Amino acid sequence: MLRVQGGDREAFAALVERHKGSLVRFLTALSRDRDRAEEVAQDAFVRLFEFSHRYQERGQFRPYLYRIAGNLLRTEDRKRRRRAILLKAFGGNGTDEAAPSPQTVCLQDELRVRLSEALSVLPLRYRSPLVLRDVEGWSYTDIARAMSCREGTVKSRIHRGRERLRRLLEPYWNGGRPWAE
Amino acid sequence: MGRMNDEDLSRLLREMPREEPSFDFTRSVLAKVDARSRSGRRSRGAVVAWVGAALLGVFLSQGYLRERYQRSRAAARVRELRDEYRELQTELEKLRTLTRELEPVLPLGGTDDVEFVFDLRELARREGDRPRAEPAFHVPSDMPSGIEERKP
Repeated sequence: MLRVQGGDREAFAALVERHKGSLVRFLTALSRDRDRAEEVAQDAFVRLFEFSHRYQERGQFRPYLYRIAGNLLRTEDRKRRRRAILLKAFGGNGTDEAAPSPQTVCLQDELRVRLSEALSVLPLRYRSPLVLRDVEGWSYTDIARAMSCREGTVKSRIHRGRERLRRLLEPYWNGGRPWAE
Repeated sequence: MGRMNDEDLSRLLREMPREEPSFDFTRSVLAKVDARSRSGRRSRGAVVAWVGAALLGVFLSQGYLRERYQRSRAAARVRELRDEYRELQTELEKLRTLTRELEPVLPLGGTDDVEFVFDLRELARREGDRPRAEPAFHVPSDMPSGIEERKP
């Protein structure tokens, strides 16, 4: 990151290569839209480069990057909600959502489809820490840094997120085996 | 039917399809960075141009204002001088009127009945100068030139 701050594009490209996979997966899990996730991930890296002078090296690069990405996604979510409200007010159907992504259409497992849907309706403050913990395997400390909150808050939000998901998925849970089996 | 526990949920989440970024992800990011820096340079250039134009405008208007100020000061000074000139003209006219009303005579003495004066115009005539004042009264011909008899 020090080299990136010096304007080293090769160092920046290496950084992108190293973190793009996990970031895109994280954002896809949050947004349920892979294309949108990739767009936001790219913008997060661009923002990282533009404002690299603000970064202070403390061994917390990944939480820093994910915080940028999370904020961008949140901002975009708000814009989309406002657009939806405007569309509805002017006689639209209240959504400018594209057709379901091919990934969603291809999903065969009913439970996994429901999981994806349940995750998308979870508030972002529960969804983010849950995905970082259970999907990406982050520590509570790193999650707290990424979300700029205390570890206790992170644990509490993860617990509540799991409770909500369980309530939504329980009808499809078959004693430990997915319904598709 | 067993209740879904945390471990079950975590497993399900981990088993979700893992989306991978597109093959040209890094190239797209670098292209966006280049595009932003180009537009940043353009907008910086535009800002510099606008600032330069604004400064030029300020300098020109300052020069114009200074010239207007100097002109107005000069005009005010001219008015002052003209007023002063008019005042002096008025004063001079008053003095001239006063001079015209005064008789150019030198008292020589006399009695209770008679006062002798010397007409200074006679002196001027003798020296060849034009008299500066008009005669105030008739001078008798039998008196020596320059001396006049006056009754109180």
